[in-house]
Amino acid sequence: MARSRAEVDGEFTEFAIGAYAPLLKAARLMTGDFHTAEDMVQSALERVYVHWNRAGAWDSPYAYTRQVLVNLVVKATKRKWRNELAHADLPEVDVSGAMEATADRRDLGIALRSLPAGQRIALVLRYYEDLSVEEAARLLGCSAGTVKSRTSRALAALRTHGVLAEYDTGGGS
Amino acid sequence: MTTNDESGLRGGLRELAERDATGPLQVAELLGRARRRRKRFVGYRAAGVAGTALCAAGAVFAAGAMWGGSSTTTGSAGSLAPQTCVSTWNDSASLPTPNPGVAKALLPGNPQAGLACLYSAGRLVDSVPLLGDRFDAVVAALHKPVKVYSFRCPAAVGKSGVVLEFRSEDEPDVFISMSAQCPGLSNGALTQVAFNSAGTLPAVLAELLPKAQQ
Repeated sequence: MARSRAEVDGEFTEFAIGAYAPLLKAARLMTGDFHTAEDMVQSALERVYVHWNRAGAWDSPYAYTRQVLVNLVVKATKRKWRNELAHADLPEVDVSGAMEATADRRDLGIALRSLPAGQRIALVLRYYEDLSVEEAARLLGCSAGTVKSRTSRALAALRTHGVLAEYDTGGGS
Repeated sequence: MTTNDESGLRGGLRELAERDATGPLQVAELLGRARRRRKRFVGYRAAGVAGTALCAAGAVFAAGAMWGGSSTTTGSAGSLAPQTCVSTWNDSASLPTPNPGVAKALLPGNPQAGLACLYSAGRLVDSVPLLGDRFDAVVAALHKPVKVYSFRCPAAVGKSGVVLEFRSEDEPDVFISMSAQCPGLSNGALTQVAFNSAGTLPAVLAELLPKAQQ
C-alpha cells in the first residue's frame, strides 16, 4: 500500500535523527574537518530521502546511507586536493598533565589528517566502523587487497607519528 | 599488525570521534532541502535528462519543430516530451501561448523542465537546458511580481536574446522571451513585462542572454 508523504517524511526524520550523530562522527574522521563532514552527511541524507520510498527493500538504511556518504567523501577527496593537506596551524595543546590524554587524541587527529584520503577512509571503515576487509572493499569499490595495503600503509604511518605507541602503552581500550 | 595496535587504534578513533559535541540535526532544513532535491530528481527523470554528465556536456541535439521551422531539441526518454528550439526568431514569429495562464502571470504554474534557446540576429546560436539550482533560481525569478511597462524599442527584423521554454507534466508549455535589444519580457500574451521601470533583469536571467548581447 502506498504510504502518504507525511508517513514517509516521519519515518525518514526518525531515521535521520538517529543516524546523524554516528554518520557525522565517521565522516569527521574520514574528512578530517567538522564542517566538511557536516555538509557531506546532510548531503548524503538528502540523497537517501530521494529514494526513501524504496527503503523497505534495503537491508539496512544506515548501511545504505553510509555507502552514499563514503561515495561522497571519496568523490570530494578526488576533487578537492586541499583536503589532503595536514593542518598547518596546530591546535594549542595544554601541556599540563591533566590534559595529556586530550593532546594524544589531537595527535591522532593530526596524524590521521596527514594520511592520504584513501588510506584514512580505509582505516576509519576498518577500525572505527568495524567493517571486515571485504565489507570495506565493497563499500569503496576496490579489491580486498587494496584495502589491506591501504590500512597497512596507514598503520605504518601512524606508528611513525608515534600515536599508536602512545595508545599501546596507555590510551588503548 | 598487532592486536594491540588494533585495539589501541579503535579506542583512539572512538575517543577522537567523541571529542567535539555533535549539534542536533536541523530536521526542518534537511527535509526542505531533501524535498527540493527529490523534486528536481523527479523532474530530471521525467525529462529524461541524464544528470550531471548531460549538464556538463550541455547536450542539445536532434530535430523537431515546436513553433515552426527546423529546430534543436533536448534528448528525452521520460514521460515529458523533449523540448525544442526553433532555428529562427524574428518579428513575424510570435511566441506560442498554449498555456492560458500566461494572460495572468508571466510564468504560470510550476514547470518541471526548462530550456533556454539563445538567438543572435534571429538565428539560433545555442541552447542550454536549465537544470538543478539554476532551474530553481530562474523559475523563482520569473515567479516574482512584475509589471507591464511601456518601453521604446528599435525595430529589429532578426531578434537577439533568449527564449525560455518551460514544460510540466500537467500543464501546457510556457514560452518567455528576453530580448537583448529591448527591455521587458514577453510570454506571448503579456508583453513588455519587467521587474522595474529600468527594465533591468535579475542576475540569474541576465546571465542567460548571449554574452555579446548583454
